[in-house]
Amino acid sequence: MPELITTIAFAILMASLIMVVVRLMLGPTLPDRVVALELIAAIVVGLIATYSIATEVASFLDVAIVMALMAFLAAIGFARFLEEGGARNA
Amino acid sequence: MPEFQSIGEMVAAGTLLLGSLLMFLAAVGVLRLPDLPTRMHASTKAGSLGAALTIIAVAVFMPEIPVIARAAATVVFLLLTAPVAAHVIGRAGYFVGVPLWEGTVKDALAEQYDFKTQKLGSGREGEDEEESGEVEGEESEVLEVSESESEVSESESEVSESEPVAEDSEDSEAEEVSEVEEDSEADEGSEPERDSEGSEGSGDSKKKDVTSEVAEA
Repeated sequence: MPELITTIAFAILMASLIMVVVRLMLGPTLPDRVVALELIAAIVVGLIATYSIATEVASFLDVAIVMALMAFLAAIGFARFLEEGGARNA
Repeated sequence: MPEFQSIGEMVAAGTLLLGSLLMFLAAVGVLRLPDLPTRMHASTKAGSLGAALTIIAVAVFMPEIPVIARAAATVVFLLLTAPVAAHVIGRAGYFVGVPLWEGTVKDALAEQYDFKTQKLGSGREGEDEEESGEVEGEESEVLEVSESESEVSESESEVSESEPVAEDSEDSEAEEVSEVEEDSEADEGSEPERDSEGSEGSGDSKKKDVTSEVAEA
């Protein structure tokens, strides 16, 4: 894979990561932040896949699987926390 | 121009860039869109498709059986869990009382829940009653042939609204809650959104308690 392609992909993914982190800081409500966290996990999965292509090491895909799993569990946990009556607006 | 060694590399590069651009699109949507459901609309679809495409790029770039198997497992997992997570978060956000965008044209869920289970305590009771009244009017217009039946149903609905004693207490509870809302907003006018949300949340729990008492009775 030419280095230019992976560099461009890394740049795009980092830019989107920064934008989502801005949304994570802004909020304004907890569900908004949870959505941002989920998208951050998806972008990190993309970063891991790009890194796996750049270094030609396929084992990084395992990390991507674990990342996706953790993101799903975190989303479910946050949603249950919200519905059972946790902090509403923080 | 970059030099590719094979067609597979070209396909992998194309999928990788497409996936990255889709995730960029999702990030722009999450940053720019006005409220929670629209942000989820951006992040869930574009985000999960972008991640799946980047992983497919890995599988195309290294076409070995273990890599393809793991990539396929990851893609299937992503596409299975993204809708579930989005549904759960959206449901939680709606019931917690996250404010919708002020340009929202129609909140169909509010009408549905007010129609079936009397009250949900979402903090917009007045609007709900107006909307349900409109719905009844439309129905009577449609069913002009059976005017007597519609009159009967209207009287029934009036009875069901005024009948139970417990609901009167519920209404007074709601009034108290609205008074509390006004007080809190008057006290701290700096952040009206958050204040109204907080009082909505307390009203939520109070009304849930009342409805559980009614159910026990």
